[in-house]
Amino acid sequence: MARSFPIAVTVLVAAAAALASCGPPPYSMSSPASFKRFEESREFKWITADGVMLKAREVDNYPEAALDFWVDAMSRHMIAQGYVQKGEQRCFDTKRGRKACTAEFMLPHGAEDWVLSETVFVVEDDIVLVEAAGPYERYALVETELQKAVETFEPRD
Amino acid sequence: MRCMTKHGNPVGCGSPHRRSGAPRRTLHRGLILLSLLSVFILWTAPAAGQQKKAAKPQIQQPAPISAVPTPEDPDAAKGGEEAATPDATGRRTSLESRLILKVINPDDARATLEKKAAELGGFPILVEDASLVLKVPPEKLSALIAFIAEQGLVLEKTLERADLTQEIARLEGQLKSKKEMLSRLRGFFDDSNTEATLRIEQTMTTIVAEIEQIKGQLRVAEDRAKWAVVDIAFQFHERDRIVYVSSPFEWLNSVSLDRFLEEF
Repeated sequence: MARSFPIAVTVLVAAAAALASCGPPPYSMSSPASFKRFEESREFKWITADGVMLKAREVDNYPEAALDFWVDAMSRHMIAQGYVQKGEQRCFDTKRGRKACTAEFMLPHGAEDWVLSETVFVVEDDIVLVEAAGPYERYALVETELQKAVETFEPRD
Repeated sequence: MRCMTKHGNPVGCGSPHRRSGAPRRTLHRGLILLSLLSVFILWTAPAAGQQKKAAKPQIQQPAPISAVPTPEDPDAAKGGEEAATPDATGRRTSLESRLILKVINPDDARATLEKKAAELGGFPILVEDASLVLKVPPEKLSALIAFIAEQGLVLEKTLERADLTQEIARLEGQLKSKKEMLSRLRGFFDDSNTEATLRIEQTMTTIVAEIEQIKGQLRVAEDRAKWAVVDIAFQFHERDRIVYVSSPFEWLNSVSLDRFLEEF
């Protein structure tokens, strides 16, 4: 009995951790008019009727660096791979005052030219990426509402 | 008898009679001729000057650079075939610009750009779903590029300038010499027998073909100097331009469209 107690605690902690990881992603964003959210998904994903997609994820801020550093590194890396940067990067403060930068890249994909948008937030040890992608013609139609929505994005709920 | 100079070199000798009386007579004749010639020159000089003055307004000035044909100036368009487009330094250059323009509606953009090119005195030479090639007078190129940039997002832009002065001069020189050769050969016909005539004819045929080829090359070079070309693509030219490049920052290796689509 006494031996089984620590095992039970361990199992409970593991189960709690698993449940926590199964919960909704810790992000919030006002809903862009043309997008629908995958409500049941464990990931933070949105999509328009014509297939423009948006998703948020986290990566390690390692080596630890500031927002400017990462946006610069990302732009250089993408251009080195053959992406074309679409205009200048756009840095802004969210509604709650968090700093972020958006860089958009273009590339041919299939028979169309696609846009890949990357918005970078640096949150302590993590980098939160809000990524959006779609064929240029369709992306351009929702670009403004997407920008407005990303300005309300909060990495921690 | 041989006459010798004081150095011992042989010289032609006249008769003893000519040696004594002739030089004086020759000198007199020379003086008379010289004075007659001077009088003639003085008499004709003012007349020639007047003729020059009278002829001056008839000298045709070279066509100015702005005489490149435009729809508003149809007369210039007629003369424009001959009037090449040397720049301010007198050099002939070709201009070619390539752009990748992203627009929401390529059909509308294509129509707008064709209309603008026509306004600038240009015309389309290739119209496709994903591209448009326009020719405009070189001095209108900047205006057209600025207008294109207003229509959408310019992703890539290149401008190539090539100096054609040397090429055109070389072709003109070749053409001139071939034509001279041809006219010389024509003169040989009169004094030649049948076999020679056949050979001359064969050579002439070859030269005529070469002349036509040079004329064609010259026309192309002059056309390149006369019109600037703008190649507008509404899509990327290279479909597989992405190459995998590893980043020392681990997370950056996960940023790509393919990965995004796979994981979505």
